[in-house]
Amino acid sequence: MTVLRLAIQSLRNRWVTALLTVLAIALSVILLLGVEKIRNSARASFANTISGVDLIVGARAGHIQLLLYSVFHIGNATNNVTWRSYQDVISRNEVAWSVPISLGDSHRGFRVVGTSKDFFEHYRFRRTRQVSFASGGPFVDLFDAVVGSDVARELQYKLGQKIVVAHGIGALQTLDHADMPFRISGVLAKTGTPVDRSVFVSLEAIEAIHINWQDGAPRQGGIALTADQVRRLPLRPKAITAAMIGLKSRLALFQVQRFVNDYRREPLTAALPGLTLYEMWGLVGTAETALLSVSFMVVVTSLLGMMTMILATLNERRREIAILRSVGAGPRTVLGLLVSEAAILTTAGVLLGTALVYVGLVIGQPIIDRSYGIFLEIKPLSMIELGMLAAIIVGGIVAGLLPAWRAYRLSLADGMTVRT
Amino acid sequence: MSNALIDISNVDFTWPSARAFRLEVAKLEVEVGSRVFLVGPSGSGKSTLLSLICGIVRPQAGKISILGTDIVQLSDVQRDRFRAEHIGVVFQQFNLLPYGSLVDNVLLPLSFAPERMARVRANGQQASDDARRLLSALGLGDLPAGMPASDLSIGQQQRVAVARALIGSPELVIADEPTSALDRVAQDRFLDLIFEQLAATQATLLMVSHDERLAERFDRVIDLQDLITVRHVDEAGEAGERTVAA
Repeated sequence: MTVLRLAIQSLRNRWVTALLTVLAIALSVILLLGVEKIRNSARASFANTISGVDLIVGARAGHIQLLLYSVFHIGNATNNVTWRSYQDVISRNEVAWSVPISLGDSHRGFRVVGTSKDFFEHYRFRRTRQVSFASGGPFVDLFDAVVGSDVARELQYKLGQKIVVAHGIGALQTLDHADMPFRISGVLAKTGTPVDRSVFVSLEAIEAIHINWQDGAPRQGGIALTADQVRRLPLRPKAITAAMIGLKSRLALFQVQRFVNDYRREPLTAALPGLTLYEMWGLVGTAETALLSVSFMVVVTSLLGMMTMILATLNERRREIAILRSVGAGPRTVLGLLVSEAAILTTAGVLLGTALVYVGLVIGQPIIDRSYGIFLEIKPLSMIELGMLAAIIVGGIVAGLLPAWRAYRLSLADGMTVRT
Repeated sequence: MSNALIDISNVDFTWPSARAFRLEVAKLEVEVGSRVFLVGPSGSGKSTLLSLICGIVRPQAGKISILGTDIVQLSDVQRDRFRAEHIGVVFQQFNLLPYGSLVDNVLLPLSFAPERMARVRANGQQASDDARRLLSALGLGDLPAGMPASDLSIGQQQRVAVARALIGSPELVIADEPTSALDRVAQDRFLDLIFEQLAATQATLLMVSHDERLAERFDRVIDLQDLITVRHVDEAGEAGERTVAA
């Protein structure tokens, strides 16, 4: 008890160096814990985005690419799936439900997703949760749109408001579908997935706004049709970007996947979302390992810094140690004093770093969600993270042993003399 | 020799480090309650002798009996505890932990010496009350007790160190040139105070100084050069006897 009190008093006497040491350790903890937390949250966020979908079908592409563009809206499709092929796939007996997805348009930086009402019924996130409407409902009219919660919040959209969809996905669109505005029929509740940053319209509406368009631009000299004229036209979609498919039984999974992959009329790909995510983590795993190794080295560096700091102060503290020896403190007390000093500094650094990571998560959560669509869930420390932090504290104590050992030797060699 | 507080015989000690320094003490006896003045130039082995008496280092051979206990036979832990319980030490300077308050510094030995602590508390008082009593007896009563030790003058620091050496009434007080950082008037005043307090506790005083002017106030004066044989062993291993070393 006395040793601990002395260690604290001694540290308080050197509070500037002590504080800097604690900060260095805290920063290294922030790095290590931050990397670990963001890594796990990103994984959880990806895994939570797509649940209950058995297969994703799209044009021939890598599984990862297909999953990224169709579900996470990262990157673009290489090709489309014709309506006929889509019908061929979903008319199979094993298929329980399907949700078509048609991408390619945007609204003020948010993706426009052409789909069917089935989306609201079948899409699941966080394992079992179904999308729900904060207000309004699915599209009824051809020119109805449903907006995600972030779209509604950021653009301050209300039910019934008219919006215009732009052609293409870039930040700057010169071509838009101003002649055919949409009315907002529903606003979705927050899901923490890319759904929040999407505008949903029906596949027919996607078809309608592209009537008279050719090769990505309005047809030259074409007759402009009004919205009412369009309503009367047969609007059967010619192609979609991808489809989410649910099966009656997961036993048929590979059978259907093989059917899609071997489909003759058109090169198609069917990806299993869970397996594909797993594949993706395998791919980014190397980068994660590198990042973790660097963070680990930073932790080691900060502990070495602490060791240097304690060693540097040792010489001027020989006096202090001789005083303690003279009043009856044994060399073991001196050893304990310096080891507890290292333990106090490391523990303070770990606590401060952990606190700052959580502060950072609270502040960064909405920003990362907005910029990357990754919703970082704030969770208490996992067993692995607790283990990492405990290892840092143990490392700090080990790092404190060297200066402590030196002080122990000095206290034996100095004897009674207070050398100056 | 029941009235000998310190009884040293045939002590032979070599520093474990590369100092190549060997010291021998044939015989030293100090009576209970006496005030002994040790005089000698630097290099005469005084610091080593004090380290031996305090039990901070242990001789390779010989007997160091204090209060009838041969501390050479004690374990390291037992010797540290023995020192805490029975010996108060005052250094030349830098006696105090700069981050501790006056009272904290005075109370320091008590955390290592339960018997001294019990003695202080015997009449039902708080240890810090006794620390304040000693501080005011040593003329430091006007200073705020919570004041950090680093704010004191050297003379004041030396008096705090005396209070620390005396608290809980250890039987032996060892002072290693405690007055050398003080001017003449302060030296005399310092000795007055220390003698006054020693009379109250009946403790034995062993004080080292090279200032022979102070010797007349002591019961006994010992020249370290008569007491200690110092040998400096050079690299070739030959032992040369020298009385004054660098």
